[in-house]
Amino acid sequence: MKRERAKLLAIVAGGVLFNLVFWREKIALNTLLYDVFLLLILFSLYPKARRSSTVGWLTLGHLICLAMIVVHNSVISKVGCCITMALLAGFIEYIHRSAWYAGGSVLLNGGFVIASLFESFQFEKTSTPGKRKYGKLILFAIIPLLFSIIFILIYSSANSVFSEVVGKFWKWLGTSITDFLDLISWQRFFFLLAGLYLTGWIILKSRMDFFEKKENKCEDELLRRRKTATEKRNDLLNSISRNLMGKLGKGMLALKNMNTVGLLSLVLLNILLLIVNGIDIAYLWFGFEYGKDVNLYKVIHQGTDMLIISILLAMAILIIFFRGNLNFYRHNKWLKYGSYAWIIQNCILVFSVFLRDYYYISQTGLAYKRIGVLFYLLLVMTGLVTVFWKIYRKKTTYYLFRVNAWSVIILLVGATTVNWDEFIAAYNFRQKDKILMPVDYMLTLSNKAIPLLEQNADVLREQLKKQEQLGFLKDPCEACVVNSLQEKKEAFMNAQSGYSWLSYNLSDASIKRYFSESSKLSSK
Amino acid sequence: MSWKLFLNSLKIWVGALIINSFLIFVYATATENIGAGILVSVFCFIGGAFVTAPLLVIVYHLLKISFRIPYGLQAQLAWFGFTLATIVVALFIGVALWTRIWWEEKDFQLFPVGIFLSIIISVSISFGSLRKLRKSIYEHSLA
Repeated sequence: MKRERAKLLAIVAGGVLFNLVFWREKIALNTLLYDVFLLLILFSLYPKARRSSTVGWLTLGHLICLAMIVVHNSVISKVGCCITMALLAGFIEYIHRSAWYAGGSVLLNGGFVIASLFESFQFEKTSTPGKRKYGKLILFAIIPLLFSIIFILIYSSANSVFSEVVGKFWKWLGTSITDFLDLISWQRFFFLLAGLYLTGWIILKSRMDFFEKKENKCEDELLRRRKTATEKRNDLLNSISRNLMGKLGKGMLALKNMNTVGLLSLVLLNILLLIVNGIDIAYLWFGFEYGKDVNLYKVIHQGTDMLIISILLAMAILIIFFRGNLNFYRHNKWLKYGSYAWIIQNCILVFSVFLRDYYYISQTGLAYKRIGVLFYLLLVMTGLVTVFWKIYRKKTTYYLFRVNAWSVIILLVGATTVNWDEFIAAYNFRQKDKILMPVDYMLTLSNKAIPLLEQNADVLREQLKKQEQLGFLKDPCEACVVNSLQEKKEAFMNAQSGYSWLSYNLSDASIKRYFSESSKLSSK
Repeated sequence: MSWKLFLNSLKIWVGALIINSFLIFVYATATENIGAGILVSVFCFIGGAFVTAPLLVIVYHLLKISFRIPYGLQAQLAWFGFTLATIVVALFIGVALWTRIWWEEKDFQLFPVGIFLSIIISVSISFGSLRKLRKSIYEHSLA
């Protein structure tokens, strides 16, 4: 009873706090206040979770993201903070090992907030005779009220004095209603509701433990077992492969036939990839020279996109082959060797994609997507290593997804610790003599890069000239650089004037300091 | 059983239409005059019945789902009412934004609030019959 009351109080307090700290403010220091409140409530409502090491590590990751919101105030730190908070709620409230299932449970939490809230309210339910009396009164009043309205209409059309009295009454009622509606800030009211909903989403554990039950059945180690007829029928991949293989996919020799098909496929795919890798090694690894005739943009973008898809497909194929009993087939030695070779070849492919990205960065500087490719390659490498481990140690697909989800979370938390806009701008300006800087892109970087961009405005103009001389640009707009920076500066200062201390963050504070110092210098 | 479910869905739908028309009547009378109030509310009732008839399908299925979620009756119906109201309001706002006809009008910004309230009140009024329906569904499933 006390626990339920505490939950309700916490939701109301959380909703009000959300409304007070986030209304017309930027996500910054206010997040720290709201987040600490949520963490305190979560750990006090679900004390068992304090002993879990997973919760401990995830809390650490979440606190890093939270700190980075105040330090860098970047988009990625905000995204990271939201994701880790949601996962943390999932791990605290339910018994999970995988971030996927925890995420699923949190999503269900969100869908059933209202039901959970009312379930908590149940303990307060007191059907007193007084309440019942009022309920009856309302029901009794409906029909007489309707009759009254009809007869008011009739009498007011028949009697002009009565009509005037009714008119005055309606006028008074109208003014009162419109005054009342004007008094309420609907936006603020809905914002409060959103705050209550969000707090309820995080704090209340839904009764839908679908994902908890599902994960309970999952194991890391693959066990050999006979599938029931229903399980076989429901296994989509199994039915596709059996239909594709026709007679070969059924009967006593189905496993042997599957092994043969897998082996043949892997041999062919390995040969194909060997040719692709051979070309890449000869062309990219050792013989690559950047010249005007090489369309680097085409090489990078088209090549990278397709290679990314091919690596994902490669992993999917291996997961399909090694999802079941082929792991235990006595003569699967060559199939395993084929898979290892395929994994190693895909690692080579990853390195080729990395080289493409590296060449692109060394020629045209850093950009978000180029950094994104590097992160992606890191994740793919982790994926390939875990696929190898899955085959080698007979692990389940659940294990594979679980481990890879954690690697994504670690990378996400790691990525929040860098101020990417400043990093990109600083790197590109450091390399100004070696690269063709993407000037337009540089001007789209967020406010955090403004001081660097302003200090290096001459470099940007020089780059435009250089690109015109090389024939990459026609009629470059040099004045646009200064105009664009000025617009950015004005937009930033305008936005800042509307914020209070709740929107404080180190990044904005340092930009403001820079502007005030530079204005002092210019006035001198 | 599905016939009873359909009747209850119909009841909720008609109830929401009547309450919404009444709210429109009160607002239009307060801001304009009683004649305008009657005219607008009658138009909204008839027009709304035609336009929102397909929503009966959503009401029916959502009601069916709500009785399956592992909560008590009050929580189930609260979830049902809130989810239905959210879906309908989201559809209304979606259409308004897509067509860009109404959104500029200040009066129409209050309309989603009215729809939301109407649905919640309609579900609350039907509480007794929904309790009976739930009981009969559970008895039927046990049998």
